[in-house]
Amino acid sequence: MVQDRENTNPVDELDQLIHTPARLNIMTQLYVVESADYIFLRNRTGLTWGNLSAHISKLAEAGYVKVDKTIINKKTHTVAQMTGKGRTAFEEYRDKMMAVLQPED
Amino acid sequence: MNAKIDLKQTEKASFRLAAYADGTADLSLGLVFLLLGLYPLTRELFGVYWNFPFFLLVLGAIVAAQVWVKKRLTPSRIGIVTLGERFKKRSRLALLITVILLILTTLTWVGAARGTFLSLPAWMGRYGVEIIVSLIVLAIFWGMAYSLELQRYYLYGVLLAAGFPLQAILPVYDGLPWLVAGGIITAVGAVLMARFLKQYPEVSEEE
Repeated sequence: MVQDRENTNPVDELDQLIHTPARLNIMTQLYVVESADYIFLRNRTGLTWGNLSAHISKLAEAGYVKVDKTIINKKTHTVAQMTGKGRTAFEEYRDKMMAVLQPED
Repeated sequence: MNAKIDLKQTEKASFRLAAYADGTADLSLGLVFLLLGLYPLTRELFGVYWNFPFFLLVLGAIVAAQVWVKKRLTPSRIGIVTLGERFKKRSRLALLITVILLILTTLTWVGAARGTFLSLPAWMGRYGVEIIVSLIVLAIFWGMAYSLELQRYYLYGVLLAAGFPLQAILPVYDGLPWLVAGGIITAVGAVLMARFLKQYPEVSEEE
């Protein structure tokens, strides 16, 4: 069957990688800062370490986030930073989401 | 899911967590005003020439303690964040405005003390200089309270602004308004720090 383009669900056009609540939360926190370490992100998002690490890994695989891991005083210190690609993707997601919820008359 | 992601609120919340959650800003502010409140006493104790170096020494210790807490205590509890360039520019502008206002305040105060201040309109009465300085201090703190959504800074503004006219009006110890204001702000800072230490225990990233 040929898909009727006029009936495409705009929600389907949203970036599903960002659309997950946890990743949307992470992307929002990273969008408004230059960089943040995992401790700060955990405090701001309320995610567990495992969840935080897993979601950031997914975002890093897509090139939306850059992760830098170092050892400071024998402790792992990981800093996440949104890439230019990530910022563009987040802004597009935000614009599409607003279009979904506030459609033009 | 709400598409209206309030990025400004998120940015402010990140800044508040990084800069104000640990209570060091409040503690430092309160201790500085406590020190100011004790200035007349220490002047009696150390004399005019030694009082100012003593004041600078204690002020340096307060700043050093704040820096130490920010570097050693806070990062392992709330993490480290680098704010965006846009926020940094706005912060620098706000700091510049605050510094200008503080310089104006100091010049007004010193000028009045030396009798070189321009004559004020009669309706301002005897306490015109105190009123002007109070309004400047109020503007600084209420500006911070409004822009950063730190409600307690409205109270700080009132406490500190009231200190100038009260110091002139009350026939008591000169430093009393600052002792009261500094004491309250220090107490608030101490409570914030205690709450911070409880709410944000030391953590390290799990492997």
